[in-house]
Amino acid sequence: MSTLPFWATVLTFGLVIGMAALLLNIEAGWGGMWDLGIAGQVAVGAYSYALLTSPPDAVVPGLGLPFWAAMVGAGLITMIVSALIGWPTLRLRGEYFLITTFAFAEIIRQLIVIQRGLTGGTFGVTGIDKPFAEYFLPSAYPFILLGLAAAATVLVLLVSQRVSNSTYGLTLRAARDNEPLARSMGTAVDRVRIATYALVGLMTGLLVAPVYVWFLGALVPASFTTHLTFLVWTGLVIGGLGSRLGGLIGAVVLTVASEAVRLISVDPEHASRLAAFQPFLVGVLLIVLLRWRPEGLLSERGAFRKRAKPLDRIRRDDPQTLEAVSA
Amino acid sequence: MSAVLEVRGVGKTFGGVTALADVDLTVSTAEITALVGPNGAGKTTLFNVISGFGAPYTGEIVFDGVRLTGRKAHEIARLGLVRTFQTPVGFPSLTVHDNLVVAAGGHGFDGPQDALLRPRADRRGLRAAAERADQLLGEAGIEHLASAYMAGLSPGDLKLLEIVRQLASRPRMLLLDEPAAAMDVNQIGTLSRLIRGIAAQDVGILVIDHNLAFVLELADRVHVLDAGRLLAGGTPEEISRNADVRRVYLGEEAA
Repeated sequence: MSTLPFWATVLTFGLVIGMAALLLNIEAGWGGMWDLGIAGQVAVGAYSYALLTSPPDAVVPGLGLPFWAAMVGAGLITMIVSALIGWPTLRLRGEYFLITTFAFAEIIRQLIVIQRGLTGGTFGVTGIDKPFAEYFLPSAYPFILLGLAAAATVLVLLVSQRVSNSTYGLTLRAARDNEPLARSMGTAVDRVRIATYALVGLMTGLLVAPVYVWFLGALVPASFTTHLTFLVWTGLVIGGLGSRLGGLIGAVVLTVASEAVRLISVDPEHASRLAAFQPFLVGVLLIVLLRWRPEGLLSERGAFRKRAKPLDRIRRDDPQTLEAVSA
Repeated sequence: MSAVLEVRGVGKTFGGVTALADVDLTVSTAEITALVGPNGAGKTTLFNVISGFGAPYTGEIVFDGVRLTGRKAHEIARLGLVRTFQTPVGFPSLTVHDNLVVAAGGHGFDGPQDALLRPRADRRGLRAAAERADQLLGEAGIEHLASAYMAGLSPGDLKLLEIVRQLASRPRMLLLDEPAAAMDVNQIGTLSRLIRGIAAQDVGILVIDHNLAFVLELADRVHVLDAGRLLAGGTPEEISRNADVRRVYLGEEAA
């Protein structure tokens, strides 16, 4: 049996986490908003998509829209929900923001469990509408899905790159570094942050959540626990918080490395030990990296370093020359 | 020469402590106004109140004919009233050049809309801000620091950059919070020339410092603040002769 479809599926999942990590990087890496509510945003987007596409006569009835319309709808809904959550929480600072977003994500998951009529509760939503599934054999579909995930990743990457090269991205990083100073030069810091949160919500609902839904095939609340949030964070930290591509690379490395463990063939009696090895491997990967490359595989300074003139380089690297020049 | 900033009867209390009481102050363009006073006199509190970081307060502050009461810090900055900070940390993870770019474009840098929906206009704005940053670095004679980070700069350069950065947005008025602190005699000379050059371009300047020698040499008008109250105001000559000032500020007993 070929392992190719397996790897296509692993990579699809890696790209989902990678997209979420690129978006998290905009708000947390550049914006300094350490958001622990990613799973909540993805859940809002995923359930919005599922309910917009689900036929009106299904077990969990929906609107029966085509997939692309549902993607747009999910994007808008997630954007509005994010802005509504962001409006009060973004007034909080540091760990207070962190814990509040964490709480909101859990509230969203509990709402999904309780609102059985709307979401199917813990039984979930099955019969997900996967785009173009009718044109391909089920055995070929993992590759189609990988292609769709890759296309969505390219879009997220384009947005992330645009942000990193824009006045907005620069302002975001400045406000993170020194908020009073940013205000003193006319930046409406609160507005910039809410807009950022809304942008991340829009992209999450439009691209991340639908691809995650296609990958899952069926929605249950258990797919949106804090495990998802921490996976995205781990990917971003491994890749490099504040870098341009770190989130994507880190997330793909992380998922591929941890799924590769499954391919090790062992006696059935050791299978549970192998399963326990997976989180162990992630932990080791993280510790090794943070010990030797604390900024991640890529770094913010590396990402935004201008092509310095040779003279600049000498002076920057040599504090004594710097003193001499500036005296 | 015209009044650009008017502070009328401003008072501020923290709990039961009176930080400022009935302070009146006028700053005109094309001259340098200084505010001196010992530590804890309320100088920085007055700065915070003027620049929108110290609400609420009593009294009235008018800038260029606009009442500042109730306005947020970024709104006041957009009116052209820009301050510096005592600790010149800047934006530590941005290069010196990018520090100035943010300041030069600060007013228009509001959210992701322009970046995503009008990328061409956004790039133009960024390029214009980068050119302004180059020009400022050149004028201040610190082009060689363009790609350095704050952590690699000497204390004097940091202080200089704090002022150059806030000039980037072409303010109508600058509030300078202890610009000469941590500077040596040579750097203070450069600083004085820079500040005079700014004032000559019709920018109002209010500087606070407790280095009396620096202030008396630099300013056209000096106000002395003590325990939240204005003690005296006048030309540097008048201030240096004022018996109250000598007693409070220099610790001299009245003769």
